[in-house]
Amino acid sequence: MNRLVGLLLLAGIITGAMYGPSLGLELPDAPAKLVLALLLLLPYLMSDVFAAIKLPRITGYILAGTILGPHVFGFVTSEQIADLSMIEDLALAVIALAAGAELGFADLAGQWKAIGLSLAFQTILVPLMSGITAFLGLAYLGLDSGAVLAGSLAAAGLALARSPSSAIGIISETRARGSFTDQVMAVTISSDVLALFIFAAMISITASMVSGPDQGGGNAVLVTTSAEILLSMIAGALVGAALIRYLSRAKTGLVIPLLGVSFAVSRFARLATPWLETGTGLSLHMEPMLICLVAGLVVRNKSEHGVRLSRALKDGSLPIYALFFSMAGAAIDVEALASMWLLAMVIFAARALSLWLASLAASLAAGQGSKIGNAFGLSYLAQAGVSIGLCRMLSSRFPGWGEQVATLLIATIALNQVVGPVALKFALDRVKETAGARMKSTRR
Amino acid sequence: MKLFLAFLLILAMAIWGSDWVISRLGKVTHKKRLMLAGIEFLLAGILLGDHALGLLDKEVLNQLSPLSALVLGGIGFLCGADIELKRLRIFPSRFFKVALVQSVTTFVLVFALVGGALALFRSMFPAVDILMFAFAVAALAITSSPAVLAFCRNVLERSRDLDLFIFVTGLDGLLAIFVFSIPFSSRLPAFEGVQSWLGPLIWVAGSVAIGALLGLTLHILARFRCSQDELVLFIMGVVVLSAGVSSRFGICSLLVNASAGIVAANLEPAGARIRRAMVSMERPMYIALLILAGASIRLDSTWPIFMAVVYMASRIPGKFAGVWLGSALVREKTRTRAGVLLVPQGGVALAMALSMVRAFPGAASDGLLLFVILAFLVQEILATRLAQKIFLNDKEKC
Repeated sequence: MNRLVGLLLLAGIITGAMYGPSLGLELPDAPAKLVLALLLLLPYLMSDVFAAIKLPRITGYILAGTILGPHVFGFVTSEQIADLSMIEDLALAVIALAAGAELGFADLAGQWKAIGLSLAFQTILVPLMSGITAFLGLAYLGLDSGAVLAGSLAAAGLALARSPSSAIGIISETRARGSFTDQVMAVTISSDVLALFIFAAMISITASMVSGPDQGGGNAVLVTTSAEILLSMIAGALVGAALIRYLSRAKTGLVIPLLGVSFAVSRFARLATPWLETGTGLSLHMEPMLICLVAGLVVRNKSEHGVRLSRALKDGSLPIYALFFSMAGAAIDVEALASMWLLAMVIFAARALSLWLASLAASLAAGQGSKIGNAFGLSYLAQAGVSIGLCRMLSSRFPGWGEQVATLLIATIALNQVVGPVALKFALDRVKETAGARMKSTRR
Repeated sequence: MKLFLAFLLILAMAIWGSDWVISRLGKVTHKKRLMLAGIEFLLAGILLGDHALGLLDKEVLNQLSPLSALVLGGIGFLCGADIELKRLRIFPSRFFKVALVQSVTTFVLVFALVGGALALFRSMFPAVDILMFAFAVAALAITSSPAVLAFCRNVLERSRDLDLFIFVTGLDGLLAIFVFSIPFSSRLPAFEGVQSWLGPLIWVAGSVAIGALLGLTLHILARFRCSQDELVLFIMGVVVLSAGVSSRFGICSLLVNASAGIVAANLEPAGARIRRAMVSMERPMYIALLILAGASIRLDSTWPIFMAVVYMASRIPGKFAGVWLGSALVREKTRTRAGVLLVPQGGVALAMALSMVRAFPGAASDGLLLFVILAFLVQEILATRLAQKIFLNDKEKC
């Protein structure tokens, strides 16, 4: 009841401030501050409804962001979201650092076979089934045969992309821990990196098909992607080494320096692009999420400070998650979803089915049993940042049919973005690795 | 690349600075105390700003404006949350009178002298601006920091002066913010049928009411079943919202946030938890404020140097005279020389100067920031030296 009163009061104050009469002395940055406050507070309070019915808060932030965003009520415009991009970058970097710090290789001992099998089955089955479904769907849309083939290849590559941010968000929210949780994180992170390669390979093939094998458009993408991943991983290892050095000296007050490191990485990645392009002549850009992920992994696995890092990042991380996922929700293209919802649903279902089949097969092959396999099948649905970035790349690289395919894929990602966290929480509950489930089983 | 380099430098300095300070907290000497006041971060900001490395230029600072809003609003909120009404009642009422008298004395002296000195530059500013700036500067002069007080704590331990000055330094920041908001309100539309001098006061009351409403909202949110993480989220959200509402209507963000802080921190059961949460956020906020203030300096003219001299020449005697007058009026046996304890100015003064720069962009507010920073540095050094002389070298106990 208190929360509801608070929510209504805040909604009233924010609406009054945004749409109330101006006194003629408004500062230019007033809207940005109001939008920041709105995205910090309202989605979190609205997510109480989701928490009450045992659904993840993250889904609540996403849906609240969508409702408040430019495609539904328009309290937040696309330009205002762009104004806050610096904060969004920071949030993503912090989340990636936390994801890396969560993954201790020692905890994965005995699970490498299962992880390998899971990755292998998923790398074969998921792109295959998603690609075939996309092929049929794009043909149904009436695109020409070349575009149908190229688009389905892109869809196949994209299907493997995950959302480490959603996974770490759910794990952090439910305070899940255990071997299942570790494996989910390992597979999510690995397949997201793998997806970059596979998508690049698919784009290379597509580019060769469109411009011909002699035009040189194809391999360049693969080379560029490989260079980007390698550069990002080297930068991540360096940041990780610096963090180890700092953590060994500093005993308290880690939150501000860690936020600083994340911010520096996200800015560096953005500002290094023109410098890299000029220096190498290639369209190179560094991936801040990968840099932070690797940095977190290095700290976790090459020093004794991993747990401290993970704990420090969890302290006070709630505003970051709330803001990041509500901004992600506000960016969901509802029009795209509305225009292609049926086809998007079909591709979504095909991807979900392929993930379930791949996970079940891997679990059975690794001797983990069907119950665990079924739970893994629900754990990898979420897609977000990287996938949307890849769609944008597709539409800018192949104007015309690329834009149509990108719209369809963005609609599919929107579905995965909303359903994925719910499915992961359900899976974690089923294997009793969430704090709530652990408490229940202890009581029994 | 500028932004990245700037941030890396801030980061390195924050890491090095906090490490350095923490490692020396256990063995504080008088010389090192100077560093504890945070001057190093202010100097770092100056170094990063337009006139040295130029890495934190105007454009970059604009990009970081959501961070500034959180920091400036947070300082206002802290100022309000520091006022624990239940504890204030423990102190005798004459303490309040001393606090009020010394604030009024300082305000009047600074207003007269700084106003007069600004009139010398009237060709540069319109008359109404001179009045408004003199008023804002005089309000800013009221604030004092407990830095030297902490330094003389051992000497003052057995004296009731310690209680008195803790009380005064705790309260004068809030009094200053209240008076400071009047120039903001004087720009707002007048009310029909209301005396012109009453209009700004109505707007000030309105700002307090908005702040109180936001504080009440925070209290409602934090009242039951609220984890520490949620509390931090709600405080940050309410601080940014207060700053946003203030920017939208042109009212003083510091006053709105201070009002929110007082209300939220004094309503139980959440009040105590909100105060504790603010303690953990205090240090990072002050570091960010000092760096931002340093980086915002513009060295375009020399008049601020002259104004800094006038400001100190009026403020320091104002503080001494205020303590003497206040003590005499309530017959409190406080040594006049103890006025030195109120000479240093803390982050609130800088936050006020930065608020002026944000709300009234231009040469006048840039100059104001510069002379406030100059005075901040000089007063910090001067107060330490003077306190050392009065309380330690003379072996004088208050």
